[in-house]
Amino acid sequence: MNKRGPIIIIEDDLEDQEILEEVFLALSCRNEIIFFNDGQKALDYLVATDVEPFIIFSDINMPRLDGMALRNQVHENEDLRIKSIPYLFFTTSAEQKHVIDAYSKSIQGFFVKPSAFNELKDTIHCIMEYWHRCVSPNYIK
Amino acid sequence: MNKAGPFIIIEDDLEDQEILQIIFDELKYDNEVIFFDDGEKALRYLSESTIEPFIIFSDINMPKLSGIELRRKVHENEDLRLKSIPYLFFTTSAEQAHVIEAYSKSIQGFFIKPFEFSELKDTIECIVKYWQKCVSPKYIK
Repeated sequence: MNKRGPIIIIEDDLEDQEILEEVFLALSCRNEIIFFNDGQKALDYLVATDVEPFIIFSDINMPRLDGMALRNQVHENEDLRIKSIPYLFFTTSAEQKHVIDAYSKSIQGFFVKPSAFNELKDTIHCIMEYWHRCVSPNYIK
Repeated sequence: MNKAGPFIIIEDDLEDQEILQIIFDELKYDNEVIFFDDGEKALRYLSESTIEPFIIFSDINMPKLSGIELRRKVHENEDLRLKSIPYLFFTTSAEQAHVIEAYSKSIQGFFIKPFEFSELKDTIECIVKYWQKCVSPKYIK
């Protein structure tokens, strides 16, 4: 978890991507925001890059590789696991089985996207603050 | 994760327990706060009780059963895992090895207790807000 690293958002709805972009802008967020439309593209990037992201916001229902499968692949990859990137589900709806499955695998957050802009902004702010307050392997001796 | 359930705090320093109690009193949550001064007592309570806690705040260096061990045992217990209780490390210091180990096992938060009362209070408030915003298996169909 590199607190200055980019925020990775995996979201196949382009309208939702735009709204999120606006939210991060409104929060004067200094981290770069990188969007992916599907899980496979995100996985290819995460595996290939030297960049250490801050947080991964991931949708669940997506074409090609869904959020649950993507998270498993990220977690099973030794190099990625060492990067200690908090992985959060950030979805439009939540099926009971996904919620139970995610928590039983110790998901680091599971949010249903609020539809009101201000509430969405408040949620993102809360998430950013939470992980900023956490210790990161990079910042201690 | 039962948002109305008790907060479990595992902390062997009685002075720190008192400070945390004062903070939770000031924050006026409806949730009960239950303290344990070692990991073994906490594990016994968690495995025997039918109560579903909201969040577990756990120290790392403790007599009998360390926080790292306790978390592993909680995670390996099927019944406890299904209760989906966010497990956070909340310690006075953090060794690099513990931090990496914890994140590689998808810890749901790793905080160093701030010395300042007001900052400690802000941190607790931020943590509670974060998990209140998350979906819980209980509250959706």
